[in-house]
Amino acid sequence: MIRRRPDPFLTPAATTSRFLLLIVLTLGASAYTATWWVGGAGGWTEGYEACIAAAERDRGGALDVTNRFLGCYDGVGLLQAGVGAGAALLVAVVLWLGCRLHPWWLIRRRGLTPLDATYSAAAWEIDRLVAEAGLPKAPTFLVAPFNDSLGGRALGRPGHYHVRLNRRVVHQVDATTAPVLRAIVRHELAHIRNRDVGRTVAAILSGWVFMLLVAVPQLVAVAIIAPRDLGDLAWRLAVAGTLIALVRASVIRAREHYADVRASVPAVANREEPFVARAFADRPPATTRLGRWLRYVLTPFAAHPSTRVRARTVATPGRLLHAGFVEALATGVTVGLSWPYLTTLSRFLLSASVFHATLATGIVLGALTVAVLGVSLWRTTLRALVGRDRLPTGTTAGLGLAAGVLIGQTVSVQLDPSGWLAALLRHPLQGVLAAGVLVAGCLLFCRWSIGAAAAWLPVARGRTFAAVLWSGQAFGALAFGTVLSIWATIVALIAQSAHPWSVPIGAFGSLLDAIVLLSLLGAAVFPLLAAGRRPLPGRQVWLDGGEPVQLPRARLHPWLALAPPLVVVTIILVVDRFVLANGLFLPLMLWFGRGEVAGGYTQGLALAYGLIGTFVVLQLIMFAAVTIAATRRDGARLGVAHGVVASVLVGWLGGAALLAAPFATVCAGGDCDLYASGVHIGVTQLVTGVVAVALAMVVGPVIALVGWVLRMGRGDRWRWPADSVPRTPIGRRWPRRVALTLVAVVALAYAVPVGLYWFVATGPLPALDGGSTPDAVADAPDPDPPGTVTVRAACEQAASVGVLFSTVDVLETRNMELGSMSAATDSPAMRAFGRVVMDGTRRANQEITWLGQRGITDYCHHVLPTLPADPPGSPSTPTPAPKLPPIVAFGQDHGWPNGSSVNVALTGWSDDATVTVEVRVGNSAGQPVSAATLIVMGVVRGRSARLVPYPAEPPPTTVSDGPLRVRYAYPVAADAATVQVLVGDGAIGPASIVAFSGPVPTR
Amino acid sequence: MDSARARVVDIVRAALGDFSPDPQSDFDFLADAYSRNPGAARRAVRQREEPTGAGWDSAVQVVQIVFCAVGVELAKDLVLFSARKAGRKPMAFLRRRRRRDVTLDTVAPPMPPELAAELHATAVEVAVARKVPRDKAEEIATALVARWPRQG
Repeated sequence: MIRRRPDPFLTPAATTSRFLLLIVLTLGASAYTATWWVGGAGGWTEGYEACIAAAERDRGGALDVTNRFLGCYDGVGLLQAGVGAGAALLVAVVLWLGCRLHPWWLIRRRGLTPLDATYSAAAWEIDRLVAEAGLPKAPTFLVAPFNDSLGGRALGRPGHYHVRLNRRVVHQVDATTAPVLRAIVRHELAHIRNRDVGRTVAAILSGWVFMLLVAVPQLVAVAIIAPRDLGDLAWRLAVAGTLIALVRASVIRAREHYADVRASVPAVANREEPFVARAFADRPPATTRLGRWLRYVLTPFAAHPSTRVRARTVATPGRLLHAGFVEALATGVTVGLSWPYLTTLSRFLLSASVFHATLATGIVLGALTVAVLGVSLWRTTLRALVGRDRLPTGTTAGLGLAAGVLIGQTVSVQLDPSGWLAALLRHPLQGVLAAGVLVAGCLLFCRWSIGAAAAWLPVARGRTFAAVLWSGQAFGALAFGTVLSIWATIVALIAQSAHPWSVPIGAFGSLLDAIVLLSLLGAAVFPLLAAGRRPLPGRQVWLDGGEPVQLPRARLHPWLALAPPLVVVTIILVVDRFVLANGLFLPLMLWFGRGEVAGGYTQGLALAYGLIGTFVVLQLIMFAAVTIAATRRDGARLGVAHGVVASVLVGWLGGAALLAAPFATVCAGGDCDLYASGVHIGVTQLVTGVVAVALAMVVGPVIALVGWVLRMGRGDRWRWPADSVPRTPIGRRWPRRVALTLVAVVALAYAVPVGLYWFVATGPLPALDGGSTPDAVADAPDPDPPGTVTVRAACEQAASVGVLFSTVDVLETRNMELGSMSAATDSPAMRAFGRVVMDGTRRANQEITWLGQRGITDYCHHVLPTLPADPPGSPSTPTPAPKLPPIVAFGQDHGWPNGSSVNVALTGWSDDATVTVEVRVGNSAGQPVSAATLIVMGVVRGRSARLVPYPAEPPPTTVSDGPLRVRYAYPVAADAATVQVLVGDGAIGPASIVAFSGPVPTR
Repeated sequence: MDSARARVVDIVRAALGDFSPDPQSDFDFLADAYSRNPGAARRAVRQREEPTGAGWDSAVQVVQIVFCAVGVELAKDLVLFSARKAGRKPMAFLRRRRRRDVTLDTVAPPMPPELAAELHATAVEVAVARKVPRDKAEEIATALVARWPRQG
């Protein structure tokens, strides 16, 4: 009698996930080949270049040129995507037809004959076995009359299954041969029960499809058209073909093992042999030494496992609950291979920005990854829980996944100009760093999957784990998809721009997108939500029955994540209300809601930044403390998840909950702008979330490393704690429900303003009146003459703008810079796109801005790889020298249409001169150009230097209380010859709106 | 044709009885299957018929089928011989009726004694082509030729 065997059917079978991988690989390879084939030797470049050439010749209006260019470009892109999608569809139809026609073809070709009364003894036994299997509909049994070996095969489709049995199996049924008949019939019925019959045919066909529709046509075409490229293509195809062969073989092997295990259940119940080895033929042994060696080396490609391995798997089916390196590698390669193609496709199909196309691609491939590897990690976690073993680390799988992604991108048929290899070749150090980010992301994903599984599996309801497993995969797909998109953003920045800080900018800049941030925060919260479920008293996890067992449960500490932030924020609230005279939050709320604050914009901003800085420190302390406290020896490694939740809560409560009372106070007068308040709160919460995730990315690994070193030093062996299986029933139901409701409310209160801000920033919702369109943008000067900026410089600027998702005003300033640079190139098309960007940004019309941006990025996508590097000293600086808009002499007023005005004077020589800036704030409708938007810079002897470091402006002197007039005084260095003062909204760089200039008076 | 087919089947069954003492309970089932699809019987000896590699020993063919195949080949040769003897040009005959159309359902003409050795050799070749060991093939050929009705 065999030992207790864990039930591998509690989680989806590996056959399904590997089959999915194989189909995606095959369809992806077919689509890629078809686009390559139809695109000709130039790979569609000719089509895109024709659009670019037409735009260069077009002398129409800027918007018309842009629209015509994008129409042409999208036409070529849609054709390219359509050809790929059509090819994939065609191959899918071929596979479907193959599966559909296969039974008919096999019956005819092999002369299969229905089982009849000739074999009455066998028929009686088969009827008994069919009843035992409990199938909804019995299959038709056919005899292969010309085959006298032992064997059988299931074929057909749901509702129309057949089982072929060789004549020898049914010919004579006696005490000796009956076990063989039973073993074969049970095995084939198990295939039907496992619903993997059609997958075998599709898996076999996929190999032929790749060979006949992908590999051979490409090789022949290249041999004729470009023989020099034959070697390069051959090795890439060899890698892809090898991968398909590996996955194909693993699909077929996996289905055999699952069928063996399924078939062994009734056998064990009837006290028969669980696996009758003599019923299944083995491959004849190799006769030569070389043959044996080759057989060993090619084992991974063998489509059928040996009877020895099959018997071992039946005895220990826990072997099927395993996440292997090869599976992870294959998943990664598929992701890497599909990446460039899917990004192109999603850009055209979704008409999305580069960043959001990348994000969409990441989520699609994230779904594939979790369907294969994520489910595998849950399986392997289940095995550890059932056996009360140490949880797996996920290191092997994570490394395999990362290596696969890098290999996949490298072996893509065409070098992706935004791919990792291009980035590595351009900036080796940053390329290596980007690879490190990918490895870290993959390791985090694998560890998170295991932690989530350890948290949820012990509390899952139902006969199988399907509900919690697929919920976990949904969170995992979003989280890993965002990790992939962050990585791709970093890589694109490195490959397309010369920014030295591409890695941190790409990593943390991507977090400013609400989808990215909320996906990652959702992933952090998901395992902790398992604390709201009561563990089951016991669950049947054994294949052959037996006592139900309670799975050990990873220790979760939801109160550790919730309580400290509550305490800290309560203290802050008490201090704010009872210790500080005017409170901190009411002035901030006044500024948020009405744009009014006693100290002006600068004061308000300083207050906001001060608060944010305080909370960043608090978040850091909270993250570190909670992570360390929660990282107990529970093996689930969910300390970081606790830390992120606690860290976000501190920020969230500070940014929103504590603002509630001031918000109510402000709005009680009916004078608050709910929309503006919501958007500003969204920004604040976005920042707190970004800080929390950034801490997890930077501080989390440090804590993990220190913990690992400490454990190494102690050399202790991990074991499940004694109380990991709590007594039952556990806890009352209502406190958990109340806690879960609170969590849902908090999550919604966090996500809604962040989502609101996302919709404002990306365009569907209107921007805030005036406030989000800096006057510096509205009054920006005309661009420099053509040729003063190189196309390469403009394209590099476009890369950094395109992949970064920034706060509104910074984004608009950046857009203005991009438009200005593009409009100053020697390319007529780029000049048109640049003018469209500038016009759209000035008018706060995001639709027009987006058109111009798309024109620039699409143009650069094709032109940038062909451009030579800018020579040193060329006019290619990303930030052109600021043009000085209307220069006003010292002592003269400069007024704005809304009534605001400014006057700058040089006064009072003693030892040093003093610049006095006097601002009169307008009170007309709309966002005034106010003291709050004032930034003063000085240019001393041609060298730009702020007179006073921003934002530490000198305290203003209030001149009058009616229409607010404030005066600032700045010292001027004694050696200054000339002084220039730039005054304006966000006057960092070229966005100044007015300049005062003049010589320093003689002493 | 039923009677002709039954004659060949009877001959093969009798020869099979001489060859193997085991009861041939499913001979009619197999003979019927062979009659309907002789090509499938020919292909069944290929290992590639099992794409997943499950049937490594699928080259083993049912002995009854080998007998049927050999019997049909003997019948074909005898049909050709009869046509030649009747004064018809073999090629003209073949044009009307291709050799492959001669199956178990056709005829089983009696064997002229002078052709026995020649037909024996043919029978051995056919059995060997079906991956039957030569000594077994000799036995099959001997059993069939011995059981075939003779002229006169």
